[in-house]
Amino acid sequence: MTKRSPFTFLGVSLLAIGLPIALTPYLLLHPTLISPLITRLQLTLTHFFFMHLTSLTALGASMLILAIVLIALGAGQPGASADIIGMLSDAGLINTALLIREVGPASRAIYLPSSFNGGKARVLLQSLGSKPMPNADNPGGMAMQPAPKRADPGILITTLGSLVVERFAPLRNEGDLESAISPILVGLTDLADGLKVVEEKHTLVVEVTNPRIRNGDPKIFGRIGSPLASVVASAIAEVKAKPVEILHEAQEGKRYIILIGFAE
Amino acid sequence: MRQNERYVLLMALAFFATTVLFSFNDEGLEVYLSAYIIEYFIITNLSSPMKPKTARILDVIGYLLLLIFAVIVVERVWAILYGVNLL
Repeated sequence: MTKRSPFTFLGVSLLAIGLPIALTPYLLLHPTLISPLITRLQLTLTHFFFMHLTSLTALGASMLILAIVLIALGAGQPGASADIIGMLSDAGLINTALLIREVGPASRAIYLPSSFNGGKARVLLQSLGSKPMPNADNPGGMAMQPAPKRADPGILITTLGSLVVERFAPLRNEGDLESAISPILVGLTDLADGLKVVEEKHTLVVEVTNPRIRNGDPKIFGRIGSPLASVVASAIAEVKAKPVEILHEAQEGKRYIILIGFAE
Repeated sequence: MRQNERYVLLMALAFFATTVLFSFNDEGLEVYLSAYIIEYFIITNLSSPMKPKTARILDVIGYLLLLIFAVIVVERVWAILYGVNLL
């Protein structure tokens, strides 16, 4: 069963209140439109509102605009609760991390921009082991594919970040990095309240304010990174059009710090 | 505060302030509506981007409000031209 958004309820309520308020002055000025039983009340109200009829209609009109805006916002809210969505995402990533750990210890997870992989942003996991990699003809899912521009083979996987980048592409790559990534985290996905990016020589320090996705212990996600770090890394890779990797991530009070490095 | 909540709060405050301020001068309804429409566009643009589904509905609202604004402007222009006997 889908959950109704509070925005929708508020919007419908405001619509129900705003409509009579907007129409009241006109009903009061036209006695035939309302029941003669309330004529006395009508006259009293007319007297009271006579000087402020326009204000009252305007107030009603503003409530109607606000009501429709609220209904629009309600329509954009997910049906399932944020907690369930977070848990689903966690379960997927943890299972992927465990599976990869079983197949062979991954040395690094490189977030590739879509331009490196035929228009699809993916994460390349490169193995330390010298196991022969299976032939990778399967394009979907966890296809084993040779690493692009590399001699070592690897596994290309899809993470939350890859999907977010694909869904909200194209990302703006002009201007500064912060203003390019911020709309994804703050507006489109509503994952956090704010974002700050400090660019250093070979690394980027990303400070996410008040993240809404539960990140838990970063260690359980292995090299792939937590869901939040995955979104940040994928977005940076896309904007910079360079492969990046998550070097470190940690929760510090209400901030989540992610250290991103450019993969060589 | 989430972006959606900030957006609604800002718009409610702007509409309320406009209603209160303009009620002192006893302005016409079209003045109120013009102010609401301008405020709607400014605040919506400041809060962009929105989720795709929300953005689509807000675009439709935007077109409707723009149409109302155009009608108000045309009506005002018509009144000015008629007022100076140009037409």
